[in-house]
Amino acid sequence: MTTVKVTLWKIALTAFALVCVVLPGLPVSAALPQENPDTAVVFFNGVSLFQFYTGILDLVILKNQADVLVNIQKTPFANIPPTLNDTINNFAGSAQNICSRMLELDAGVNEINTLLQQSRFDEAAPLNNQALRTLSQAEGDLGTIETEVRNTLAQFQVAAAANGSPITTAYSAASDRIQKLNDMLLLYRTILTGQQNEILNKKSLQSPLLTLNVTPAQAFVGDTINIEGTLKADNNPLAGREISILLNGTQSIKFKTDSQGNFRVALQVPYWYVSVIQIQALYYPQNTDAGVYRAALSTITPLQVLFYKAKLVLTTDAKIYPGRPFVISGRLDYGADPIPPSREIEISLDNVPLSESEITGNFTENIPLPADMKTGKHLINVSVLASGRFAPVLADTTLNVVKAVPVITAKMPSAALIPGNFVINGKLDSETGPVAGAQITISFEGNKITATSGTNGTFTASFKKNWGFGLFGAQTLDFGVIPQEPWLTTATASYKIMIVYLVNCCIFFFILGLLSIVLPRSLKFKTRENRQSQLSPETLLTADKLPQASQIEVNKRIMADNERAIKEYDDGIFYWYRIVLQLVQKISGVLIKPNQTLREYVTATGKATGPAARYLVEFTRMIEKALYSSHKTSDDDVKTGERLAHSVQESLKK
Amino acid sequence: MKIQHIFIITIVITIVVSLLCISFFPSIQDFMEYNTLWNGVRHSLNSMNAGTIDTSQELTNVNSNNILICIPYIQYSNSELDGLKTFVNNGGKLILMDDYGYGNSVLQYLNLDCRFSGAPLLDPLFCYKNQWLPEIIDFAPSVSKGLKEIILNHATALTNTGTIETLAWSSSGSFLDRNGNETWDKGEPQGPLPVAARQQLGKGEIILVSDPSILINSMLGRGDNAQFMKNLIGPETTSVQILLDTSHLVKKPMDITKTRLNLIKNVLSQPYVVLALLLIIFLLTSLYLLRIGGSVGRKS
Repeated sequence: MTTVKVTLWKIALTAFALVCVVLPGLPVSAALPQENPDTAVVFFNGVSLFQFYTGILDLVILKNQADVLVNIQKTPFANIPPTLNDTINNFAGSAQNICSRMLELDAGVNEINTLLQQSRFDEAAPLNNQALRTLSQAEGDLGTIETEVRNTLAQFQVAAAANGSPITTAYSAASDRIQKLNDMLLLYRTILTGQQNEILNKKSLQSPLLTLNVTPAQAFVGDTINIEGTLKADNNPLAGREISILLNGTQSIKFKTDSQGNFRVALQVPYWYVSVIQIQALYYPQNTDAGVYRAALSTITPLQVLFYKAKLVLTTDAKIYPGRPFVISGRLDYGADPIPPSREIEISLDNVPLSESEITGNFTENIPLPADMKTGKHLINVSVLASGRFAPVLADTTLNVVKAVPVITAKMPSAALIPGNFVINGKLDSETGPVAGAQITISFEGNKITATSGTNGTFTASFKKNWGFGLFGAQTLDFGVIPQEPWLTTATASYKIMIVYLVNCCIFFFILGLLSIVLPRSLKFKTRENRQSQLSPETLLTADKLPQASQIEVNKRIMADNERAIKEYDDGIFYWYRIVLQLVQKISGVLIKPNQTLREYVTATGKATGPAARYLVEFTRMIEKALYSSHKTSDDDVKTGERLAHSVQESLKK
Repeated sequence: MKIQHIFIITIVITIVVSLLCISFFPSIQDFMEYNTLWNGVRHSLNSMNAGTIDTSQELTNVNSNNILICIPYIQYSNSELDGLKTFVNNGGKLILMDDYGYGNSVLQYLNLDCRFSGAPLLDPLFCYKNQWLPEIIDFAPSVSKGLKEIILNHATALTNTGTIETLAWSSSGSFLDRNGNETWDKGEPQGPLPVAARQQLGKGEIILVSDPSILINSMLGRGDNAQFMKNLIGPETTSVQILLDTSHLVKKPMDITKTRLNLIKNVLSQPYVVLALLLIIFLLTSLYLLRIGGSVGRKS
């Protein structure tokens, strides 16, 4: 293959590998269910920011202060360039201010109008001045908004964008709202300036004098007090003029002065359970008086209001359960004040009315709680309604709504045999009493059984299992409880039980027993067999072919091998004698008996060994000497034994 | 050495090295339990002290005391849907988190009108870095404890919420990009759009979240996502276990192998299995020794 062909092959294989790697990745990239937020590209969207500005300005135009506030609170979360942080904050602050100032202006303009209609120019003048100051501040806020929108414009380089592009359209919309706000502020200025001029024009009108006297200075709610006074202009009584009594600034009753410009009227103290009521008389010119007199206000006279107060202390259960009634008790402490015969109370939970009732003295109410009530802290309000001289009493306390946890008590045998079945008896209890009708699931090694608790919470279940992987040991029984009652939660529990897998144990111990018997024997047998095979004539002399003359050299080699092998097992003349014995056993076919001496054996095999018997007898004597006397074998003895062994072998070959 | 021996040794080494590689190499697949990278859920599961459900059988047998989080990126079978229904009806809390998966089939089976839109929810202004990562700053009082903002990641929105209790909304500047041009066009729904909702069902409840990505390692710690999950899960109790159903997530072969390896590891860690293994090893050793018994008891 040429170099070009090899290169082409390499390119083709690389391309194929690339396709294999890239292709499976493509669908994943296309789906893209998420991206790494650490490496995500930052992108600021000017269009959306201008739209956000426009949205807030729309709310300002609608004077929807609550929504303006909600939107402004979101500004810290906007994804904008850091250089625009101050811009957006200034914009938000100014938008909030301008909205509240416009609402202030609306209220001020209306109040000034009312006062002007009643010729109450002295009261209208300071309000008008205040409104004009507020208007100036609002104009300043609008200026800030305009500036900050321009700053944003510069940041996103809207000027460079083509007309009609989304960002220029969005900027134009924000500018349009700023213009509308500007128009609104201009309108406020026109109105307030007009009111100011009216106040200045009516400055020359005559000011009447109005006096007021209230007796007594303190009274219970519902009691009657006397109100009297005089209306004069230039010391001339103004007869038949309408006087209004203002209680804490609110009009109460109206009446007319007599021919002397005096007035005297009885007024019932309203059931306002406040310590002081400010009383004031008001005259404002009507009909022909309009354009002649200015309105007149008396000095403020305070009336000390008396009523009976009480303290309400609520107590309720520490734990309340959904779907179960609970008890709430209240103790009213009137102190030294008299105690009323009865009071009406209203009880509400999380501002939702629960019950109304009439009580005498302290009370205890048994109130059912909805079954779907969520667990946690809930607020309960008790309101003792006002009654005559008795002021209303309000108190609240926190209800701790919880669900009771069923407690599982199970009785079962301490040990169970598999295959077989075991019975589980148990009882479900809770803080609210026995748990009836609950579904109990018992799981054991992937098997499940269910039972239902009786009216007293007891249950019985039988677990049957025929087979398993284990031998014996503690196993876990998992209990799960699903109660019916809404005030109870689900519960779990675990119990341990000793399980004995009878069949598995039998098999296991049988195998173990079998192995404990068979293995040692087998090992022993094998070991012995191997030793014997090492020393057997077959191995030593390659069986019966040894005597043949043609194989002398082979025998020599085998002898050498055997010597090496047996030297590992024993040393000295015994080593050579053992070889000789094995050779004789092989040649003669006679094994040495347990009760036979070496000499008897040599004699018994004399015929079979022939000329070798002489050497064998000599060698046997040497062995007997070594075995049964105090003679210690020397190196010479070993050499002699070796020589005799070779002589026996040579003789046997013949 | 014989060729058969070389072949067997090669296979054994290959298997061992492969298993070690599979065990030690992190998964890179989205939402995988073993994935410690940005798109996995390993750290998230640890921080929530949550476990996983890896098989369909486990899913149909979840105890109703637990809280089950499902990300339905693979279609649920009827028996699994039935299991989910039973779980909720018996008092379980199911948190169904979906954006572009099969969440609607679950809702349909549970007879709920609410649906996952399936169109991307984009918010060009209230977002983290870009409009694909919208910030949510409007919450119902029931889940608003400790929350300022949560950050979504390639999310969608809920539709047909009707009477269902909405828990969180996107901003008024957000929109559903139905035509995929990444800008708002006429006819495309504009914010505020619901992104989380809750419905009582039987004795339990189902919570819908239109973005499962808030669970991934790189998102749970961002904004108040972790607190949001805590608020959805409810007060911590020792008897309640949080379980993430990973059996309906798209898995790569390595994830499947990791899951199976983990299952095997769990099985092998059982005491009886250990005992059985020891027995087998004992038997095999004994047989081997019997076969080469000649060397036993020999002097060296």
